[in-house]
Amino acid sequence: MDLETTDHLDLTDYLNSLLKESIKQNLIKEEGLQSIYIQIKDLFIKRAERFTLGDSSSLPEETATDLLNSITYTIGIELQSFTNLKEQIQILISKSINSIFYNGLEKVKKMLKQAKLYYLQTKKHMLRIGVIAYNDTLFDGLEEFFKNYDCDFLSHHTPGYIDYPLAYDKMDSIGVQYVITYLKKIYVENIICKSIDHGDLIKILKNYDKNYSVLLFNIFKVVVHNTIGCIIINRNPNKILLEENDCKGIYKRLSLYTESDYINIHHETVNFLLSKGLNNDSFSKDYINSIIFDVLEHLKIYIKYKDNYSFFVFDNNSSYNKMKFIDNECLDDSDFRDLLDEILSLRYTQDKIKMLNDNCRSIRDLIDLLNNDIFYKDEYFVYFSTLNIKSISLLLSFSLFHNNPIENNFIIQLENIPKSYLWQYKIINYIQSLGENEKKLIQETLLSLEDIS
Amino acid sequence: MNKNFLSIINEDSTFLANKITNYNIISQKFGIILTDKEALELVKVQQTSLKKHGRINFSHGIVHKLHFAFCDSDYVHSSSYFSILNELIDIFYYYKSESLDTYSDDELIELMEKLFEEGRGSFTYLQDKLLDNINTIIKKKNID
Repeated sequence: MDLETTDHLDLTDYLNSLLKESIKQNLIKEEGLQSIYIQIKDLFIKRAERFTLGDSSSLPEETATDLLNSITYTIGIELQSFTNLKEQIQILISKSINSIFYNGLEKVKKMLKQAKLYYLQTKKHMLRIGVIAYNDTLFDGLEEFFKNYDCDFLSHHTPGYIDYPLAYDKMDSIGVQYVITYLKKIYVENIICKSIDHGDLIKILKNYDKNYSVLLFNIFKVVVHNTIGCIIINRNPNKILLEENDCKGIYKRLSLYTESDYINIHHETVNFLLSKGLNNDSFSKDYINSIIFDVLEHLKIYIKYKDNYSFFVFDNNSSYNKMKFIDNECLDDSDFRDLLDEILSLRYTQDKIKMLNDNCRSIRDLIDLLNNDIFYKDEYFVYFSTLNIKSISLLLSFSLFHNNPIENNFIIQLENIPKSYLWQYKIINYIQSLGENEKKLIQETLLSLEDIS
Repeated sequence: MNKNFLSIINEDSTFLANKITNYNIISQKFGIILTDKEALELVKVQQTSLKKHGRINFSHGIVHKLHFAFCDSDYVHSSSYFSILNELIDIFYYYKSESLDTYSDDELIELMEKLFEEGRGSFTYLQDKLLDNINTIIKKKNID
């Protein structure tokens, strides 16, 4: 065992772990060990008297155990400030347990202040996302921790409820030490998730599970999976949405992967994620490295069982939130002709609109009527303003997009589509005059409409 | 470390027995004297009772305090005193735990002493009244 490192020691029971190690390595003699125990016993008695304010000579076993664990935890915190294992043992032997404990207590109090700062920083960079466990933990759960954490007598406890899981959490520490690590990790996860387009993030979560808001899962891990997927097929990982077709490509490549290919993917993913607004600090690096290592190990298992479909999240538009539009029956030719004549004979716009609304039941009839120039100039604006978002979207879908995929900036796309009728120019002008929210709603409705045949 | 460690916290029975017999100076005025053997036996009773009620003693215990509080009672006699203390030790730890440590050691002993006198040395009366007191305390705690 390397005497210089302390990595193998148990952070949840540091003092015991260190003593066991020092006995194993013959670094401490029986007298030294006995002296430590006697000093801890004396300290326990003092702390118990303080805890009971001198009112009691006994404590329930559970309380006494907590008190003792708090003492050993606090001593462990002080010892950990000496990085070298030999040095830690030397401190234990040469200094009084009392002074080690009180130095540790000061450190625990400082750590609590530090944790509060991390908490504020984490809240500042929170994702605005409706995942209940995430929001509950970062608001109420952690606030409860800060309200109830007892440095003096229960420093090893982690009150509050920290339900939201991290992408990678060995849960190898307790008390304020765990909370600091948790907050630092959540901060790293938040910064990277925030660099992703919010719409894409929501979309990927909806595709992960339509009930994602109530699930207990880690958001960042979903992002990491798809980032790896993008890197495997040489797609820009800034756009983490994967199409179902990508799955075949990913599997094809992965089935030929050697260990060195996995190492390359590991490095590439780590470098990409670290470039997302994080300081290149060792904590972030180590954390991201641990996550990617863990995720790739899981991926290997999925590939072994030919199940990469459930590992990556695909944009499953065909099944998710698609709106099916069934048009009404069209008028027969003679009725259509009568209606057109009737509308053309009307003088006032409102009368035309009323006639249209009362008699035209099919989107295809409406388009045919509009193709026959039933309105003049500004009358189009008046008419379009009476239509809801869904009707506007249907008009665009049936007459201009013709099942063409909707792009991010659908207005520019519309401008470039060849047009044959005046109303088609007018509807684009009308959409351009709308606010950003309405435009966004039209785009979303267009995206959610099933292919129209 | 913990469980074993806690069990050895107060092992010095002789010290605790001496602490008890030190009060013989006062108790002998009332015709009550505990021998060293009896005191050691009471320390053992205390340890058994602590264990029975899931408690850890970290100080000098309560036997010397019970000895001091009850030695002048009209309802104790030298012949039955040892067995009375035996009972009182167990009653103390039972109600200390049941009251969720609401009473300090001194408060509980004072209350026990008062009720013992009220009940003319009846353990049934003492325990019934202690139970009433504790129920009231717990109800009050729940309301708060």
